[in-house]
Amino acid sequence: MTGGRSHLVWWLLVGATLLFLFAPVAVVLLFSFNAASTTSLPFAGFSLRWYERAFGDHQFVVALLNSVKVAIVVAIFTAVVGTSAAFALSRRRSRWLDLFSSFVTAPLILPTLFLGIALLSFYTQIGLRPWLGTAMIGHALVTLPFVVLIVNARLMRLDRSIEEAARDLGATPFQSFRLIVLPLVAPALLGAILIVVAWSFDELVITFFTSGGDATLPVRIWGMLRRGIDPSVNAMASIILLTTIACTLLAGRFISGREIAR
Amino acid sequence: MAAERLGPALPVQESAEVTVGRPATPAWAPTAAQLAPALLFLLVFLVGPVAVFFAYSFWTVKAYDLVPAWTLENYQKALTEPIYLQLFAQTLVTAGLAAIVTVVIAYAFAHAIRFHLRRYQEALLLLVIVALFSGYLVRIYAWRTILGDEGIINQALISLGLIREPLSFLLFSRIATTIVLVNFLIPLAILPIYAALQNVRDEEIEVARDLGATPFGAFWRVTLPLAWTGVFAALGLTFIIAAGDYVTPQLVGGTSGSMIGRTIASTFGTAFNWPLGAALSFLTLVFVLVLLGLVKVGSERVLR
Repeated sequence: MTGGRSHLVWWLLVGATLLFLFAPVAVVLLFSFNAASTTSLPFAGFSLRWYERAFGDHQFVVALLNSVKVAIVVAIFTAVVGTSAAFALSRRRSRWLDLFSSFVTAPLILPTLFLGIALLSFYTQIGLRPWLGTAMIGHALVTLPFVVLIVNARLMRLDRSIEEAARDLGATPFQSFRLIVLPLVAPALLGAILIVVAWSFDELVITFFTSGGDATLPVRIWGMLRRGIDPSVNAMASIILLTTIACTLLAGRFISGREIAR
Repeated sequence: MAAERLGPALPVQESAEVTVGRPATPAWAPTAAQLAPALLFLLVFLVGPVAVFFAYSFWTVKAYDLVPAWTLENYQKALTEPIYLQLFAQTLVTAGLAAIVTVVIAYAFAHAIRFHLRRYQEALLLLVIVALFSGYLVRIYAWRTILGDEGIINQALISLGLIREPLSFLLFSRIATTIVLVNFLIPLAILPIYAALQNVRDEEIEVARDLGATPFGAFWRVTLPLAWTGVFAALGLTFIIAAGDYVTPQLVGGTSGSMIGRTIASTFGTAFNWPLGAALSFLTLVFVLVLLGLVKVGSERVLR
């Protein structure tokens, strides 16, 4: 707090932690451009051959499209259902609503393995054949709390008198929602949707257990990892990384980190 | 007689008031309608699966078919066979160690950005969130490239002349499992701790310091107790997630770094014994929650 020297110590600590956090990400991105076919040093030079090979693999392209489909459907569903719930939570305070909040966030604190096999058991019991659609349900379970929490946080900060003023000036409830509240909440909703997409694009375990034979990108990579080393995995993994990092950085423009840290 | 006549008169008065004073729908109706889709979705696809999964833990498998036997056999097997007991112990030790290391690092990080590097806290927090969402599977398998015999660390140490043979205990070991768990849990722990530290006011710490507390004394007596809810939340969350993880032990754990999640996943795959897998899952959850309960009780005695 006082001298420049103690400042340096804190920067070292923060820097070392960030280095540790981003080292694996950097390694994958770096080796995806490596010309050599081994994933070890020294670096053999820049090449796009692993990306060419990845996109030449039919199963990879199918998995990529599946991932995109899942992310889009899950984003739309959670945006509508989650925003609706966030509005309910922001209007009034009650014990029941607090209970509902913990209910919504419950899937976030359960291991994805637990959720994945519980969902698989459920589908088997009710006779639902696992496919891409059943995997979407699992994704929606875990990402719904992101939308509810982020949109609710923004609604709580809104000045409710603006809405009341609109009503006093003759706006219908729908007009005041459409013209006043929605534009004010939209950035938070957009940020939440980007977080949902990032999470969905990256999800492995729930998808693995609940998508039947339909592979998404992480499931395809998981299958390849079990068969042995193929450097094009680095290229496929990099596509996930670039998507999720881009989504999260973009989300950071619409919502503050403090709205996510709760 | 008089009472009988008065009786029906009262409700009429009341209902008249209601229809005049308010619109026909009760005040909570819009809230209920807004909540209904999410509530219905969670009741069907969260409560339903957990209930079925729990029921399965009392079933058995006969000739590759699930049979509703309603027996405690699976729990008995899980709690008596040495292989499962050893796996439980190994899982709780590894996950507990990973959770503690994670929370210590995460606390230091959150403390640094909250109190010392305030000007950059938004940017640093965004980096943490980027790390949180960037690559679960990718992150785990990348560690094979870093920790393996021909990995970056061993190659660096050999080329520096510090070692001759690669350090093979780095990969496929408990150390590997712990490092990798810590690596993807840190962002998850930073967020609740940071949120808790935001609620600690600067004046509260300043007062402690003015009254003669050392920096550590102020931390131990003031900051940590005030932020404990967040720290405990981070500890609980990371412990549960670590104990239930199976991708990490599968990819980097080898035999010594194995965990129960791997066994549970196999009961839902090649081993085909869903009831046993369900029993193992619920037992893991119970063990984790009991340990966390003990930590909570203990911490309330120490941090007062």
